[in-house]
Amino acid sequence: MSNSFKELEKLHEEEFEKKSSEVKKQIDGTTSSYKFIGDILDLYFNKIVGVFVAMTGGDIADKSKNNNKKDNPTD
Amino acid sequence: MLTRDIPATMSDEDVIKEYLATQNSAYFDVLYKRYSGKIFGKCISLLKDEAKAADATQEVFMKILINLSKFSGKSKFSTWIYSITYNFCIDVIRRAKKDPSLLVDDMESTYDKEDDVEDIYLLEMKVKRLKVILEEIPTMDKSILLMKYQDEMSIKEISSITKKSESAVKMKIKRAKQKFKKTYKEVYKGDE
Repeated sequence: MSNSFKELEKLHEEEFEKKSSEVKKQIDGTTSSYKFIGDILDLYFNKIVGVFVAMTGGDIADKSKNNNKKDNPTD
Repeated sequence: MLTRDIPATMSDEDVIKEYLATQNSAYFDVLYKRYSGKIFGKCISLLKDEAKAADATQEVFMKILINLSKFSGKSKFSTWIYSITYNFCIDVIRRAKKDPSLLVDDMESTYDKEDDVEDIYLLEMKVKRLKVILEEIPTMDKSILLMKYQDEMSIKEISSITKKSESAVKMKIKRAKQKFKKTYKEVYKGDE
């Protein structure tokens, strides 16, 4: 038995071939933007948290001092 | 690795596993090649506009990419992505309020009294006519028919996508076929 629905699907697939690379480029563009934002967040996340802590009245300097003490056992 | 280095026989599930493990875009390109045309076809059938269908294809692929790690493998990959496609398109139509039939659940219908329509009636129709009738019938009927005859989904699979019981799905298929036949007779009056 033939299947007109499958034939229609094939027609649409052929129709899409002209647009395929254009759509793919747009997907790649959006993916790159997401990755870029992710990388930026990754890189500056600690600093953003620090700024937030400072804005809410916390002391980042004390924390880094304590960390330095831990790193340097001769102190 | 390039897309051409990935064997064509590699299953979707293995392609996904490799993509998630390596984040190599060549694996995603394989999925795009396999399914983009089919997804575009569903989008154009439902949205009836080439530009909108292309945009929808892009958005559906972004959704697939973002949620790929959530694909559990309980269903076939094709069923999973078609489910995203149908739900996305129905949501677009619903938001645009272009099809009032999507706002009500027509559990009561006059079609119930009519005879069943044979599968062969739909399957052996000329493609041009099929396209015309699909453009005429309501979105929900069209989706159900595409799931059953184009994607060859089981009642259980359609039931999980539409979030309706299996008996409700069977009823919806029956009504969609009747609606299809009625529309065909109206459009091609005196042409049979």
